[in-house]
Amino acid sequence: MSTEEPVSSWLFLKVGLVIYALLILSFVLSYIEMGRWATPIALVIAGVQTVLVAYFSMELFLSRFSVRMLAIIAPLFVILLVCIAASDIATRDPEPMLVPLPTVEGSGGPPERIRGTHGVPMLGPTEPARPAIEGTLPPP
Amino acid sequence: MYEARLLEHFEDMEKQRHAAKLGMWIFLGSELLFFNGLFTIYAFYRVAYPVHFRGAIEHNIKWLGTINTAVLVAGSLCVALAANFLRMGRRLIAVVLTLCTALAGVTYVVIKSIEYGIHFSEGIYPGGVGRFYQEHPEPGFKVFFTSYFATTGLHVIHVAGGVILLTWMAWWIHRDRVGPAGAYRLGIAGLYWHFVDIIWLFLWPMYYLLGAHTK
Repeated sequence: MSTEEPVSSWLFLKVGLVIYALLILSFVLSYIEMGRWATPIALVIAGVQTVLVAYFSMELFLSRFSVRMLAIIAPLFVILLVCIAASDIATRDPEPMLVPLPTVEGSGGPPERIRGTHGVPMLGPTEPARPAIEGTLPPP
Repeated sequence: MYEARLLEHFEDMEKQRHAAKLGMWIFLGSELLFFNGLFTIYAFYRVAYPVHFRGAIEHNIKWLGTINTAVLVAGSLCVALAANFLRMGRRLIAVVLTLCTALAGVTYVVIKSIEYGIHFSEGIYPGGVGRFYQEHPEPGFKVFFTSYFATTGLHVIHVAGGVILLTWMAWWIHRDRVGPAGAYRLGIAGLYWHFVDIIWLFLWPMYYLLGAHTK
């Protein structure tokens, strides 16, 4: 009965040390104000850690192509969906969070005054209802 | 010593091992797509409420999240070493390292429970319920903490599942039901743990680091 060949345990220890070093780097960088670069830098560090775990600890370097293909395609779907969702909301005009909430007469409207992305007030209980747009159903 | 037997529909052990490994990777791929929905919700609302999300992250305890990250990475390292030592035929050290991974999982769950307890004591509950939201009525705070509890809660369940799985594997190795030729079974259980570790490597910056420059 065949046995998988063991590899040097030092390999896993070295990879573990690199992952811990990246963990410390990520932690230290979180104290530095980097503005819009903070998110991509943190995600790139997490991505590098992931590649190290997947390639060495999950032994992709010993695996066949069919397994490697799965390990590449599944994260690509994650990146695709997250990027599409983020770019969708970032490029909408008008911004979806500023679309007024429907109000029902006598209900007093939404429970609180809600502000949108940039602090622009949305339709709230203290604001008059907007006139119905021609061709649309009137509010109940 | 009991060893994994070759099932009749496989030509050899190598193909049997590969099929088992591929099956686990397919399962992990589907699990990743499961978490993908939660990552997408986070990305969507992070873009919509950047200021509120930064404010909400400051209410999470960064050093507890960092300890949890270190604990999960240690568990990941231990289980990778355990599978390697089992292949070498060093059963005892494989059992000890597998149990260390399970212990890391228990530690993670305990620390996460403490964190949840602190949140509850501050009036932060999922779904925008609690006195915290009276002081912070902005919708971004409600969305952040609902997303936080949903995602980390699901992750905690996965970690707890990993603890059970690895404790079971340690028992099997101890009882000689898994030996050097069946070490791929521990390797497959380890794949699950590595997956849980990878998910947390992203949750940690998302919920603890991005925006919390003051703590």
